[in-house]
Amino acid sequence: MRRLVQTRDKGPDLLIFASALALLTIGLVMVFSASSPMAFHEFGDSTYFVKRQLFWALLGTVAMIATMNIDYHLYRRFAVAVYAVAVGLLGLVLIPAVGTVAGGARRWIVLGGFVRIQPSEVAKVAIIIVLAAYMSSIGPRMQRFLTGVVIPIALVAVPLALIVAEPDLGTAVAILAVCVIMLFLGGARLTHLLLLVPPAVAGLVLLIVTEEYRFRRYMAFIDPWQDPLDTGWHVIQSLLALGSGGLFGLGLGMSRQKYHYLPETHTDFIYSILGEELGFVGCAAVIALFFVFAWRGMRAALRAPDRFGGLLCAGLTCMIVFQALMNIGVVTSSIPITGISLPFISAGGSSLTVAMASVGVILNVSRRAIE
Amino acid sequence: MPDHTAVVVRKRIVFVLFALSLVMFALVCRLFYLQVIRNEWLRQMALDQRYATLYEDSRRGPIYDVRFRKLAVSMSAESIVAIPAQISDARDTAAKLSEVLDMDYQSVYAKLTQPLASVYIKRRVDQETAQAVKELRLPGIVFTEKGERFYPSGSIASHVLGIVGTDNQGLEGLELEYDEYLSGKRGRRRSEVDARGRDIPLGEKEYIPPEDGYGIVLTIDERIQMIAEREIERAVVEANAARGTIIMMNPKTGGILALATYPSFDLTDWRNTTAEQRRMWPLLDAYEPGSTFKIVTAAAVLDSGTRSVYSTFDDIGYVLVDGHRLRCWRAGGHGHQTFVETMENSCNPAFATYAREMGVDVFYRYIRAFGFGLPTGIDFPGDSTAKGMLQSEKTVGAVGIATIGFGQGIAVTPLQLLQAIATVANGGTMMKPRLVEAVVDERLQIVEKFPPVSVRQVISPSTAQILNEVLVSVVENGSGTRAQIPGYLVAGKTGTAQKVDHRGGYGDKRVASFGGYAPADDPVVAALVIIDEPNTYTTYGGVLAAPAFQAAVSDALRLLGVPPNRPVAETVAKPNQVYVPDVRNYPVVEAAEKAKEAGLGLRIVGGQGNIVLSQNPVPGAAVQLNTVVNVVVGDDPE
Repeated sequence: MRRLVQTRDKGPDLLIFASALALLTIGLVMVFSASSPMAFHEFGDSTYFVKRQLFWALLGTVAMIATMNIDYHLYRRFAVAVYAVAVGLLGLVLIPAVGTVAGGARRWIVLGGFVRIQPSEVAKVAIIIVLAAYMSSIGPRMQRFLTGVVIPIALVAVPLALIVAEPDLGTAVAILAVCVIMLFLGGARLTHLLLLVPPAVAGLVLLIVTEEYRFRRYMAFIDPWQDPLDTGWHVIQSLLALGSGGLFGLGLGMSRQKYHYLPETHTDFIYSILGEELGFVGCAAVIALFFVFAWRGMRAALRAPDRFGGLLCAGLTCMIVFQALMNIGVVTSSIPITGISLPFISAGGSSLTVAMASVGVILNVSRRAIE
Repeated sequence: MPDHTAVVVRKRIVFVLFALSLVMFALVCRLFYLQVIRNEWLRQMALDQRYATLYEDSRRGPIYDVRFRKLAVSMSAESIVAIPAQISDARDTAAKLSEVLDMDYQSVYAKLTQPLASVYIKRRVDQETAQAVKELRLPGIVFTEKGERFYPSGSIASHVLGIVGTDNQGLEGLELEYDEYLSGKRGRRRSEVDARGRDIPLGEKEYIPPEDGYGIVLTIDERIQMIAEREIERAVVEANAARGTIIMMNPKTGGILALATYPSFDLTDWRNTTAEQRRMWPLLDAYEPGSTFKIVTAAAVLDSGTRSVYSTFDDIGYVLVDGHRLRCWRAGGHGHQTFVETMENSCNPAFATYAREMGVDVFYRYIRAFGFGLPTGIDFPGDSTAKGMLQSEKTVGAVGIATIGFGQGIAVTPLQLLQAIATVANGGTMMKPRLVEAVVDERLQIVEKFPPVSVRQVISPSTAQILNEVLVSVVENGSGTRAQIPGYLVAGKTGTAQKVDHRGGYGDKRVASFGGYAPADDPVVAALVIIDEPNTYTTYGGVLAAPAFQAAVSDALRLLGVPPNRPVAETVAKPNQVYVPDVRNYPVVEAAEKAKEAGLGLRIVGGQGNIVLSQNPVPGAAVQLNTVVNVVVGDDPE
């Protein structure tokens, strides 16, 4: 059994490291550019957001270096504890006295100052760890419906339900999708997985039609021009920003749409401003970096010395890439607005720190790669 | 990965990577579509939502009279505009503005807080007020210049000039007709603004300055216009009439020298007038001309060779046409008359007969050649529809053609009639009437010139010469004696037309007119005077319109520097001898006064009525003091 063989440290995959740092750097520049008019107007300091983002970037880098050097087997041992903490935090954020409301959703726990954590970010990683741990211990029994699908879905259903309750449907959808991918990678039967599709779709439709704002967002995706000043506003302004960019963009810092036309320029819609300033070339470059990240991350998963490492690495990689695709899908109006930020690039403390820590874990797995 | 699923798992990892890559590729395609293919469309749309445009009016060009005196000029007055998005403290701004501008605080505050790109606070403030507001240095309060029309000579030629709207656009009259020259091009100030209306730093800014309009130079002479306005006012008031007009024209060039109407209106207060009051009826509205139209009939009958000027006509008081009796105004008729006398006496049976002798085809050919039934082509809004009314040749019939002979059953615009009279004055060549001589820039350099346009030769020069002498005789000896101007030979014809009432028949309303020109030997001014619906002791054109013609044209000739070339009759001859004044066409009371002033008596020896028709001894005869002048009177001849 190779699993028992302690593999030699081959050093982390430099392409993963490089692509993540490149995206982080682009993010810092874009956060400054995109947020400066709003920051200046709201806080009288155009560097208000970028200063905070810089702090989180440093913290994230520290976290990445730390996790890069922590043997990933440790997570398997503490999988249950991590899961319990995540569920606990998700429960805690729903208590009005603890959770902070922003944009109509209770998603943050403020620790003090500008330091606030987003339990759903923690939960993403926790769910991946617990699934990887579960599947690697189940082994061939993944082919059975009960142990391969029902139990793991039940496992993730609890935190997902809490996230939906925040409400944060977009994140829940992203996590669910990554979970299904992990079950697929873990060896679950395709027919069993397909059985999940009808109830998942039915649940999603139900959640959309029962909540008015979700339904309006969905309709705005179908035809943004129907209500250009309200629900269609985000989508239209995002398309105008991207479209204004052309092939090479208006130049760094030259975005016009960031002057209060496009809301959330430094968070969910930062990619639109990037497209306006750096053009199609800039947009394609960001996607290329995510491709490199996906390729090397999946390659590391393929070469992981054991099942847990492979599934953990694939799960984390998929989570980051999947969020990136969802975000870009939203700003290009390819899918309805979901409220998913762009990993490494969007401003946001918890998400950046968690993403960087995840990269560290992936790098740690890549260090143990076998040929 | 040791177990049996290892191979499957490896395949699945590769499959997931492939699927993610596929989605990435799809997104790149989507981005390419949005950013490269739809680039222009989306960019333009983004631009449109960002550009805020403030327009700046150009200064409207002035209107000059023929001697470059300013009739209408635009002075720019500043307007105060607010850009609500740039106002930091609306309450404070509103408080300060309302005080300086003497406006209501609430209304100013309401304007400042409107969700608009820009809003007018107050249009056209005077300079001191504008300066006071500027000194407040209020953010978001800007100024735009707005042109305002001023009339340096007062509100003269109102109907001709027409009116200008709030946004510098010509609405009526020459202001409308020449708007493209006068208005210039408005300038604009564009800048990129953010979603809250503030300028974007380093955003594009564009300023296109306004281009001032050109000036136009009229054919009208301000001095003659003033005379015409004075005389038509006097004539209309004295006749207690509804309205009146004097149009004066240079018969050689077609240039209008004066076009006065009474009542007129105040150009600076046009908003309190109705469109009806501002209507240029002398150019646009048709009326039945009556006896003045006999000039056209005479021209046609002489030029076509139907009759010679030496022909005669016996008037028995009426003429029978198709069983209809067309009466002469003089009971019993004028008896045996020469052609000239038929004109002097304005004898309707004679002219009915002339018209019938010519026949429909010949007469209509001349009527059309004189421009009736067609627009005159004058440069004034609405001209193309101002054709008058001409019955069809096919339906006009014998009675119709006979009545047209003396100016009934045809409707013409005053300008059409004057154009026809001017044609006789100009040796038979008809000129297109014009109001504007040239377009000039601000240094009075000519940009475009509108030369005289001759329309056609209507009658031969020799016919025109003969007719000229006939018309001179009308003024010397006939119904037009009161149009005589000492020192000049005057030609003309009186008219007293019945107006069709609302039931379609002839009622008791009249139009008194006189059309003619002077000096008859080398015409400089052709003029038409119309007194509409006089309401006094008489409605006779020879009494109501001819004196206004005389007064206006004699002053115009003096102003134009036309030297008198006729001996002026002396008023005192030898001791105890006086020259007999001309009392014809005066009301009896006035005639008696004139005779008394000259030291003579007056006695009515025939007729019944108010107006002196003939006198004995004739005007100008030298007689002993206290001689009695015998006169024959009548009522409203024609």
